[in-house]
Amino acid sequence: MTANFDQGLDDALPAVDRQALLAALEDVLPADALLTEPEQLRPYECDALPTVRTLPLLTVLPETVAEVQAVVKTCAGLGVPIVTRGAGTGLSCGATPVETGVLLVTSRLDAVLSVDVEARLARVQPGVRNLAVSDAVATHGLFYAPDPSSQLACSIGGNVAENAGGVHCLKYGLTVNNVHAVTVVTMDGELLELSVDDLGPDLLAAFIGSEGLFGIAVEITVKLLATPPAVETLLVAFDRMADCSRAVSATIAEGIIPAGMEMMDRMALRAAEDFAQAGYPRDAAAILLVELDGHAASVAAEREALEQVMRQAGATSIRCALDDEERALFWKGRKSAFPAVAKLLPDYYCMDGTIPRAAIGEVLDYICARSEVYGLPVANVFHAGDGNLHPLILFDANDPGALEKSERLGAEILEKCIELGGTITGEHGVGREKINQMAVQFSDAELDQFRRLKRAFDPRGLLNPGKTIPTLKRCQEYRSIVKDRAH
Amino acid sequence: MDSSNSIIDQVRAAAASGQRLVVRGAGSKPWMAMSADRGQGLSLSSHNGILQYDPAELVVVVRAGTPVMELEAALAERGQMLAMEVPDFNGGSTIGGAVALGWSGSRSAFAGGVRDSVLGLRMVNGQGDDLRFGGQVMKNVAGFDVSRLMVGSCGRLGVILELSLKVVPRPQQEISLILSYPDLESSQAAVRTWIQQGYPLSGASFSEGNLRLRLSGPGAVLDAAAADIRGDAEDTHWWSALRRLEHPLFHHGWGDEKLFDCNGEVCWTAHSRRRGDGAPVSLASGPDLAKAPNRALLTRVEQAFDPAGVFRPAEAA
Ligand SMILES: Cc1cc2nc3c(=O)[nH]c(=O)nc-3n(C[C@H](O)[C@H](O)[C@H](O)COP(=O)(O)OP(=O)(O)OC[C@H]3O[C@@H](n4cnc5c(N)ncnc54)[C@H](O)[C@@H]3O)c2cc1C
Repeated sequence: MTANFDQGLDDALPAVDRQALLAALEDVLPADALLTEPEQLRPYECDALPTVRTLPLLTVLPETVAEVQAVVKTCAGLGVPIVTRGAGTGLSCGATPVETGVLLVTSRLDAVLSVDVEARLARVQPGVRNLAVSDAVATHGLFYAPDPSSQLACSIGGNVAENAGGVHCLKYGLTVNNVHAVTVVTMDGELLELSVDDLGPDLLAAFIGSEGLFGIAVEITVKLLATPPAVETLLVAFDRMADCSRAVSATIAEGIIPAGMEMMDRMALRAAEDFAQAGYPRDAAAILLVELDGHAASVAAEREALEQVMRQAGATSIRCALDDEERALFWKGRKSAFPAVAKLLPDYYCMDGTIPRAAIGEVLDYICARSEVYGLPVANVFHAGDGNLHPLILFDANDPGALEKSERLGAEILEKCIELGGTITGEHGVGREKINQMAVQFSDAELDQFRRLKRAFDPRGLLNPGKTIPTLKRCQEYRSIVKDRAH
Repeated sequence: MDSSNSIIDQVRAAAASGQRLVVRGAGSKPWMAMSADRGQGLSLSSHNGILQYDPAELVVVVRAGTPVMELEAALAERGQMLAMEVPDFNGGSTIGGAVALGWSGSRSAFAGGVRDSVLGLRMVNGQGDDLRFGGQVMKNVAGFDVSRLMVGSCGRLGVILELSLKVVPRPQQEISLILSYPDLESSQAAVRTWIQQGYPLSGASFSEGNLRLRLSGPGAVLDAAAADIRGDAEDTHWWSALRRLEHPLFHHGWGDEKLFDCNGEVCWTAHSRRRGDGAPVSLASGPDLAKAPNRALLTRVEQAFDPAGVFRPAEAA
């Protein structure tokens, strides 16, 4: 049973009068903000998980908040679904269009509106790229902490919708911990202001990570942090995977919380080394990239303690980046690991389960064993410090059955994460891709609570329909398959 | 002790009979005394105890009725503490009550508040459904973030039964410094430069011309910071008194005097607490969610969790 949209298992999409919709949108948008031809729509048919593709009915590229509101009011009036898209770097089919819906792309809402250096806040539009925020405030000695590996391309609006993480969220948290306020256009076309200072239940936190199902973020106030005065980046090699896994827990147990702690296995580190010449030791079984930051005196003390922990855990070599240039090179290898691994075979499928740190070794053994059974190579490159795995399953979609096999292996890995007390997604979101596993992680009562919360924000269910929360019918079907598999 | 079954049964019975319930932890908050006339009390104080704690995972799972002080003592034994600092009214507050109130203490401006510490929870909604959201891991984005939605919900969306909370290593040392400044703004500017230096601040409050700083970290860093900042050293007890609302301000009142905590983000008077641009909350009557912004949306959210209005306060009925 795939995650693909299925008339029999998912809520039916409303029928839409395309001509009437087009005429109404032409009234509220400039001509160049409306894409209607198949060749114009083609670039928007999928996000960064390209195995699922759907052409939207129309694509709109609003340039102002007022245009967003006008589009939403028009769609609401005609009962037309809307899917919001940022940069389309999502890995869970969250921004995949729906056939009878409008795709609203935020790429033209790309201004950094203001920077308040004293309050350490920046107001930005949703289409601003993640890295552009840090670039805009660097001269003030400030930065925006969440740094997904896709930060060159992904949008802040998409980060808010997915509650994106990054390589430094072990110390600095995810998007939810670094956003001060969001202005939302709700499905009735009105503006909603959500702030951390609001009295009552934390609606801002609930909006973050709502995957485009609650509203369209049109302005985001992010918190900025002071650039740490001292930084050390260590590249630690191991000749046994198990030693490397143990070193992660041992570090935390020692009371050290690095700013980031990333792990790469042999396949991933070799691919990254070939791609970026980062200086990784090609003969290692696994490496850890550990970053410490803060006041120079505390960084020095932590580095000494860390090196001892690593040696005790069996590290075969420890290298510290000598300068900013080498540090950037170490990180370049890590940040280009996905595209580097993608060169090994035509297709890859990136998983995102999270598990308690202590279970890292066990789950990596499991992945290795299942990878052999399925005959599909799996490379591991992930946020080890917070137990967030990214197994990359490699395959060639031209081989008959390979895509289905990769999806089955992926599903098994996610379900193993749930079994070990973890979750099916640490930062990439559910979207369409993990819709089946939601039935394993949550009970009917919990899923029903999600549906009712969704209706509180979007009573008619027009925003990003079919995503994130499975129907009761799909759940029953999928659970019976999982049960049969166990027998 | 595990009272979850009895709590769930009470909520189900109330939903079936149209009765109202007022969730209470230890009843430590000053305004709790007057809650009795708002509905039948549902006490959590016997639902307590630590369920799971492995220091290397940086997370603790605890029943909601556990006293904050008891939990903190257990973490301190293993060299850790809660990542958040919450007020402790009369030394009796429960952890569930602290999260439902959502007030973050002095450390929050530098290390995150209650919403940043909640990783998951088990709760009963107004229909008596036993629900779990979030989990024991740092990163979890499966489904909507109901765990954090419950922060500040003041018992209005349901009863929190269990919480998974982030914990961090205890700092090696803590010091407090006092310096004088003519006004809040100049003190804030000074604090900003020390943040930029990377000094491990864990408190910055301003009142009556005095800036008080708390710093937590390795001795070497604190020495460097103290030499640079050059304030007078003071006992760190001042901060725990503020946390317990035992500061003289709360007893005698200072007229119109204000105490700013969290480098100006939080403003206390003898009678109220205000955060940022939010509305002031009266210390005598507690948060009034009728005054919350986005009231229409909030009403729909309340109905989504509590369709029968079991937790709706009588005056809002
Ligand atoms: C190579 C690579 C590496 C990656 N590394 C990371 C990583 O380290 N950490 C991580 O967290 N993610 C990572 N990702 C995933 C992805 O980059 C993030 O999920 C990112 O937040 C998506 O942003 P986007 O602008 O591309 O959003 P899109 O893919 O366009 O959309 C994602 C979701 O957000 C919704 N959305 C977009 N904008 C808005 C808005 N303004 N209002 C409401 N909803 C909106 C969409 O409807 C959709 O559901 C990676 C992806 C790639 C390809």
